[in-house]
Amino acid sequence: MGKWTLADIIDFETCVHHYSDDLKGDKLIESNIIRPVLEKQPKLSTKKKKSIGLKAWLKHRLKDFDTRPSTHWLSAFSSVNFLLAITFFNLGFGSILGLMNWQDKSYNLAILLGVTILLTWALFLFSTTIYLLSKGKSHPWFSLLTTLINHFWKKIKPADFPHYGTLHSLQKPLKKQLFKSLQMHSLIYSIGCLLGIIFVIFFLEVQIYWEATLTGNMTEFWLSITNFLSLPWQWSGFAVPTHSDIEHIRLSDFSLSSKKPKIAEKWAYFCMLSILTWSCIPRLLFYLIGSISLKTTLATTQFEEARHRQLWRRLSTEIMETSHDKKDDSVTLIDLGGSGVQLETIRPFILQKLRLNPEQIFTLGTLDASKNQLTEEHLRETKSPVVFCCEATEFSPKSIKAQIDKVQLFNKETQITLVLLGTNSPSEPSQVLIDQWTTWVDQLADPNIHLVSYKKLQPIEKNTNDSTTAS
Amino acid sequence: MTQPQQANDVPSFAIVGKVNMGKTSVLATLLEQDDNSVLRVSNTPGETTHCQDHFLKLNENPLIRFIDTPGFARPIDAMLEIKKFHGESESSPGKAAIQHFITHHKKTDEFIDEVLLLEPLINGAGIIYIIDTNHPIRDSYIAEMEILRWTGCQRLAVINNQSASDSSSEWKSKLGSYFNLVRTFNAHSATYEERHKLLKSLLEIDESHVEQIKKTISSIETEWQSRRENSAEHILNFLLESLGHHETVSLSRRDCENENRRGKTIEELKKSYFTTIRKKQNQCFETILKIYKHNLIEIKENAELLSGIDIEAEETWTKWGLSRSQLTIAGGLTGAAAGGAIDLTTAGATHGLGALFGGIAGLATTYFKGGSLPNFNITLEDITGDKAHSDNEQRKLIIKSPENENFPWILLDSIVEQYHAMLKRAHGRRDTQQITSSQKNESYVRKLTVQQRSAVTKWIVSCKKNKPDYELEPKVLEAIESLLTIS
Repeated sequence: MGKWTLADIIDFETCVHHYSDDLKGDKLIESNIIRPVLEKQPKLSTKKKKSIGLKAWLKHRLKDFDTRPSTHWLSAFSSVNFLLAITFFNLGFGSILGLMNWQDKSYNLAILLGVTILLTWALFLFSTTIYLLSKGKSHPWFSLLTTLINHFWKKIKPADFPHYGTLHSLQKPLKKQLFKSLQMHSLIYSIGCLLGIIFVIFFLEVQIYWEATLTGNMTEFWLSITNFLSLPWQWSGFAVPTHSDIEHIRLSDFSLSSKKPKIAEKWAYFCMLSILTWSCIPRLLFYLIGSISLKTTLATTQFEEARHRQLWRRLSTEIMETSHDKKDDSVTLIDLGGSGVQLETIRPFILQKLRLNPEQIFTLGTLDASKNQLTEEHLRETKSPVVFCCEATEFSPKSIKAQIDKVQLFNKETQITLVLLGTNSPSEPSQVLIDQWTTWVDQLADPNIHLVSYKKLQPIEKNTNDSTTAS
Repeated sequence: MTQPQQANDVPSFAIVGKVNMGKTSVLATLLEQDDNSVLRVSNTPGETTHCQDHFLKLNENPLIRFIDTPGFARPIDAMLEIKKFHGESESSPGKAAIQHFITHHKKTDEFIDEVLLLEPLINGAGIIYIIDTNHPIRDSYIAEMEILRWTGCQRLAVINNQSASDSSSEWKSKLGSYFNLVRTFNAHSATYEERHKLLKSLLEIDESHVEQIKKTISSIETEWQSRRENSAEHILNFLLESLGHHETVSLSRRDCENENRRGKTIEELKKSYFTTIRKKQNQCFETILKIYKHNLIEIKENAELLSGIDIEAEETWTKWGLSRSQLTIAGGLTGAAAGGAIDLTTAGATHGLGALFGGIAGLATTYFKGGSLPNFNITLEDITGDKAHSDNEQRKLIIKSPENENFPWILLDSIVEQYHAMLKRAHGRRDTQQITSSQKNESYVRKLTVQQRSAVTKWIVSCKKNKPDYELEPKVLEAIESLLTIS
């Protein structure tokens, strides 16, 4: 757990993109899967925890897929690699066969070494130079490469896979993979060349020669070349061409029909060993370096891009929230008859005495039909209790009963409270009026109808038996 | 919502006190709730009509329960009534007498408020008593404190003075004798640290739920950190979008030929550019407000200025963002980095002179340009081929991020300042507030370390080239987070 492969990163980016909004699902995975895993290893560093946590998340999310998203990517990579391997091997082997002069079965040493050794090194140095010079810049050749990748990306990527340009976590390992693959194919080419030269040496009687227009120091030149190339095995003395060996294979000095098997053998081994030492082995080393580099890159993947950070934040942050057991204290406050009572002045009384919270005041029983209609519509929609503010002097039993009936038409069980106000409301009504109303309400004998008379509220600090000194 | 069957499952604390002492305000600030439909706060006494439970939850599991109560209405009468139920005994009344009081008066209308607030206390809730010590000590307060003492519950007194003043020594002495712990907490100005301190105080009054309260506090700390990281992320995105933003306007043939018309178009383009930047900043800030659960902070939509910063004023460029010397050093570092790249590509043939000269050039450029007014990056390009919508359209003006190195720092300073202004706002307040940049003494970004400034500068440079360096983002985020933690 925790070690990432290229396939894992491809799958991870797919899942991050696919599940970018699934907060609930992420929290479930965190509590059921990630937390138990991390709790077993409490001493891990934050980075390690993140790596393991994200891997566990990925493992769980992949269960939703019938096949891993990376499968078709990797099978495509494998297919391309296989085709390229065959191609490069054939190129290598074919080059050897192609370079041979079939009339006299001979090889020009310069061309042979050039194609099998120099060419591969030149390509390597050239591409390395281009890479270094264009690092961070949009070099046209790299733009071309990126364009090609994007072109194929659009064709083969799954519908829910993000654009390659945004996947920096994937670009690095992909570049390393590309390097590794190129070295592998170069190695295969070199092996092709080596096997080719072995084939022609063992199954065709080939000759090797060199030629030059200038007669000057070419022998010395070739001696320095051969000495350099044979450095790794010079100590053994085997297959190390001498001055005379070089002179012997100079085309002007011998005709190709004049064969000296021992010298030819020496040159054959020299060529084989040169290709092996200067082409195959370095390529193998670069391939191994590429493999190690890829492994290191995968092992040190930080997942520090914005979408990774967001995911980890979702996974590692516990959701703190508040919930409220709210008791409904809403009320429909109605000014009956249009006394003009203001919400701000009557509200404290309603809050403290009736424990209800009026948020607006309606009107009923006035000449304003629109206001009456608004009130009736509200009564139709709401189920909250009703408070009628009535001026005590405007005692009109039939009229008030009619309004009560209207309310009860919408809901028979509505609690209706009549708040008696004095004139110039809000003011306290007289006791006579209170008694009058009380008698009438009692006669209604309706348990849903209550009567309260308005009282001016005392300032909060005044209480009975209060004094300024502490008792 | 599932609620615990018993109060013992979850530590419970009842917020008690006289009517209009700010109980609900304290709770609103503690729970970061500025929605009046949830917690009604106003100067009208009696807003809290019933006891209401408020749960602090972690992943849907309740951790702490706070009970908002209506408040004592007739404490002296209630105290005398409880004493009656206790009888003639010389000892103080206890839970039994209070229980008797509750049972009896539940059937009457006489002591509705006292019955409502005492019931949770009898069921084991801890007491958080809210008091404004600006009020003179009255018998009613003494009666309240006596009743609370009789419950036998652990008690925390919270001084919530609604006007700035120190508590009298008489109050301090009284509270000290009645309560296990006394704390000060201004519901209208308490910060995260003060909320945190108050929650920690709960550990001292509820010993039976210590682990759960500790877990709550730890979770709040983690969540606060996460909010900061999230805010830093949004600020980074804001900078990224702003630095990469450009606007274009087509110029007709007449505009091209007429200098006055061209000048007018340029001015409109500049205005449009800053309007867009301002909108981006507002969007960023709105997101941060949501993260911090603020609903009553308004963002001024039609401000002429970039959050109060006058980009055209010279003072802006000296007061905000980095100082000239800091800009110079930062410019030198990026110049040296550019010069270093030359050294690398020449395989060291320049012997490091690239870095040296690059650094000097960077220093000089920044020194002379850093304090100057915004040098707008406006280019004129030809419209060719299909892109021209008509023969009349010949060229287009493109405006990009100003070349002045301080511009991104000013943007960053501006939003960080808004962030800190927001932090000072307590959720217990119910007035709406507009946050704009105020007169402040010192720029926030100047407090970054050299390494942080260097990382941010490099990232800014990469953003301006439309090739943001993603590998620098963690360091930039770290720098922004450090700005958000400055107290």
